[in-house]
Amino acid sequence: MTPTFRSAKAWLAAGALTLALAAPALAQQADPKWDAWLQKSQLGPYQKNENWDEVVTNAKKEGEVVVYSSSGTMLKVAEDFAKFYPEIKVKAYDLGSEKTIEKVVREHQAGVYAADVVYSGGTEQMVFDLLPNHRIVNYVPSYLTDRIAAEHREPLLTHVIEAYGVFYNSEAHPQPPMKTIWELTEPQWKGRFSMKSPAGSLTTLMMLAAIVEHSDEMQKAYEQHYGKKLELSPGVENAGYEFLHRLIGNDIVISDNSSKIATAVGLRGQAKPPMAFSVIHYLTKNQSDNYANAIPYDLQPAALFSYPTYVAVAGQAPHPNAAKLFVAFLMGSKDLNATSELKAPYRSGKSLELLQGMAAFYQVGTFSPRTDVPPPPHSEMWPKARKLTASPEFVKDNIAKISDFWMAETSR
Amino acid sequence: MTTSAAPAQTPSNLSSARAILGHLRHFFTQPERLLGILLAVVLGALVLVPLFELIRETLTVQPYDRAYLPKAQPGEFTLFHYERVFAGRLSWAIFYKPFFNSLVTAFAATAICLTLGAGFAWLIVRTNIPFRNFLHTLVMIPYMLPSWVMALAWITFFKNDRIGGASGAFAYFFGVQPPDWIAYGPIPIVICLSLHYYVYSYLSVSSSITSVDSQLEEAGAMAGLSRLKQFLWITAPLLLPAIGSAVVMTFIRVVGSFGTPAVLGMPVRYFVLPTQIYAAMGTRNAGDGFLLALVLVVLACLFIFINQRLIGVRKSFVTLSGKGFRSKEIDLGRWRWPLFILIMLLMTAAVAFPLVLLVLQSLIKTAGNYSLSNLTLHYWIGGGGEGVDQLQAALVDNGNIIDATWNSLKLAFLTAMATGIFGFLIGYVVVRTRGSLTSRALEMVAFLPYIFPALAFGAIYIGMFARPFGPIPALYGTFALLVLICSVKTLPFTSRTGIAALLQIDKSLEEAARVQGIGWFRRMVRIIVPIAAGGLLSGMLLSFISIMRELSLIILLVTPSTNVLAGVIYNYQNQDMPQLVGVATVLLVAIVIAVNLVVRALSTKARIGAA
Repeated sequence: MTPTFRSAKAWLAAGALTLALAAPALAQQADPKWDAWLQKSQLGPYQKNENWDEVVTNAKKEGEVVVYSSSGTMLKVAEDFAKFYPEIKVKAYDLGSEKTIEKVVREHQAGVYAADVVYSGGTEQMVFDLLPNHRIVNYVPSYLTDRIAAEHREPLLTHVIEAYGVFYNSEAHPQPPMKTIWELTEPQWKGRFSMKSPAGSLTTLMMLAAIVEHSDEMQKAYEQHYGKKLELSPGVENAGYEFLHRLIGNDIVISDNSSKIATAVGLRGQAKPPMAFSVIHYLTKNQSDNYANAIPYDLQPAALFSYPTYVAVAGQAPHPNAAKLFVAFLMGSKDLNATSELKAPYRSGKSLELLQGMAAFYQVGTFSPRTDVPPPPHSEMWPKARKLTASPEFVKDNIAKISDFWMAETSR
Repeated sequence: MTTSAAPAQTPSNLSSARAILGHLRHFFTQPERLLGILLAVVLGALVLVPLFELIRETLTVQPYDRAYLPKAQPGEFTLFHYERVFAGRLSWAIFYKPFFNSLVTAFAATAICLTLGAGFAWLIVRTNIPFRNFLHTLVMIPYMLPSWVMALAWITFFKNDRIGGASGAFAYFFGVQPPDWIAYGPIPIVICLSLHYYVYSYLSVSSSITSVDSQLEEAGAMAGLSRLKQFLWITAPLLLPAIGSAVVMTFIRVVGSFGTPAVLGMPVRYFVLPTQIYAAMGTRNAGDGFLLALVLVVLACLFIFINQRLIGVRKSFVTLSGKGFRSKEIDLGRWRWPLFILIMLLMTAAVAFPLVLLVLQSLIKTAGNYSLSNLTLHYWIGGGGEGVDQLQAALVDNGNIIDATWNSLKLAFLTAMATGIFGFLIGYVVVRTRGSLTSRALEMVAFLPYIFPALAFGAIYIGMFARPFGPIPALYGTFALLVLICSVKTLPFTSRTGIAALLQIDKSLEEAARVQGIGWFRRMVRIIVPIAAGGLLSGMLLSFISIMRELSLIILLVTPSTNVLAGVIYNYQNQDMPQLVGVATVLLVAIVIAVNLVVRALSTKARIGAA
């Protein structure tokens, strides 16, 4: 700790306060209960030779599972779960990404172990805060291990891979209106590009991280398109930050809701529709509400920015077997494979039996990390499209800096 | 005791012992002192402990800070957040600019709120404006709508092509895009907040005006003062305590409100302190968030201090003294109808407009299409129909909404009761021990919860009540904890109105009763409570209403079985189900209005408002 103390008074006041308040400030200490719980629940190092029938039997005995989730879709999964396991009561909370984490952390700090399953994006929090601090434990059903790539099951199991995409209106622009992402910083898009605020949206922050981490590709895209070297603004570190600097400087419009953004871009009949970063599962609005959203897949360096949403068993979960069963349910059934025939509506009949907890998520833009799940409709481009993704290590070291950069730039 | 048994005891010792005993007896026959101490201890635990926790969190290394302080351990002492927020490279963005924006919007909104609220109060309580009872109910409705409804209505109406999508109603009808400064930013924020929060001023001033004896004004008239001068020189000063609390409550509420600035400020990047707090909490930078929250707390304390200085000096605003009392109606003459129409116009903007929008929203099959063929009652009465998303259960068989409604009612009712009793007791102690340390401390502490950012308050309460806390058992997950936190959080409403109401009851009334040998408890029940009831009921009503739509305070504390209506609305909002948001919000508003009407019908004797 090396802050310089600007004022002796502040130092004194602060010192007096800490003295008075130091008592409750107990540092995190090693918990012998943790290992015992892992052993009893057969999780972590004790998850060997998993007997799945036994897990199901025990889960039914536990009779309840409590899920803290960043997604409203979880409430639908809970309904579907009840159809398969009526003896297990599901209590699912839809809390949003940051409140899910806040609630787990606060409860654990208070010694309350209420949650069984934690579902949230936000690599920094989930992987580098909750996981090492025993707030959650990674759990991959044994029978799924060889159907999920290592990066999606270690250090934490990814439930779905989602993505932000650059959106344009295909009615106003029959052809993609740009070739490089840098064109968004040009005058014709001034005040006509919007995105969700990264404050309160961990996934949006992950997208910014992807842009900054892939600074080299950003720079290459600029130089290829404009045929000249990219000049960084004073104090700006690399091409990724430079892009954000110019994008914000081009009078960016910030919103609180990605769904509204997709509506704003894709509504038909607009003379000058804006462009945006939005979550690509809103492409489904094209079918349901006749919107005209499209993604310029050939955009340089990429039009898609993907990020994982994790699911984990909560630390010292009171119903560990029910938690395992719920996680397995979320991932889809054992019998699901690349040739499975799936038909809408996915949340019923044979499709539901195969997809299970994936049924409610089964749409373009939310992709299972399982290699044996058929892609949802309208996602033909997904496997081949270029995607930028931020790596967990980069996120850990840079996410605060990126968040600060955003704050300073948007308050200019 | 005889002198022989204690030869050393001199008469002087004896008398001093007697004096002490006498003091003690005197002390115990003044229940307000005992009560004061008791209340101070309880409130201290419930309010000051969270405040200390808040401060402590700003001074310790948070898990998030590892990015900045790689060598520090979470929990260590640090001034890092203070530097970063107030003196660092980012302090302009994190603190100074939002702080300045906050002050500008809050001062402007407070001024408008006071003008509107006090103006309405005077018109409705003291003049012969038409349909007074109706107006009294009407002007309170904006407060019953969740505050973001007004902002959403504004943006739906004035939206321009800056954010794209469907054009706003204004652009649709007039073919002109409204400029950015009308659609977004400080001006709409101030207007929307004003149309929502003026109700504080209205309630506070109207209940105080009711008890101003019009003989005082008549005396002024006889002395040759014009109507305006009578008001400015006689009535207005008498209303100062009420105006003072109205200003304090409005300012603090406005400066701490999140929803409206978030909706209307974001498109033009107009940030205020609460949106910055939310941003910091959202990125889990709790240190920064709590520190900014602390700034709001300090700002509020400053306001209370100024208010106390101003009104504390003139503490003898006794208008209800047991002598003759009369309230005379003022004839507005030819201004009767124009003023009525003006109020109706304002109310159309503040009430009808957002409500119609909400009802419409609950009836629409596909969002954005307002044609008649696209309307359905499915989301209210079920039955489905072509083009309806059957996965969303209609109100009639939506257990989610029905259970939550019941929980909301239970919570709001219990909270209003608890907070009413405590608010009255606090008001009594504060007024009767005026000038003492107890009085000042109690008033301050009872007001503190008001300025706590709700989310932070909830977060800290989890920690406090997950384990037994003092004599209180572990409450986490219970309904009692929700009632407790809501009571503490809304205590300021009832303690403020309690103080304002009791300030106007002269001690002589109570002393007369005391001389007759009437005990403290009976004095309270027979004299003080009935007289103060009007003010108290408005306070309890405010508590009830604000708990009906409270969300951020309890979001971390609710469990599925204790979920409330506002929580359900929040979930539907998140899931982008505008119809069910409409249904649940209309239901919420209807309940609140109904309760308001019932309370008013039952309490005509207690002189709530104009009746």
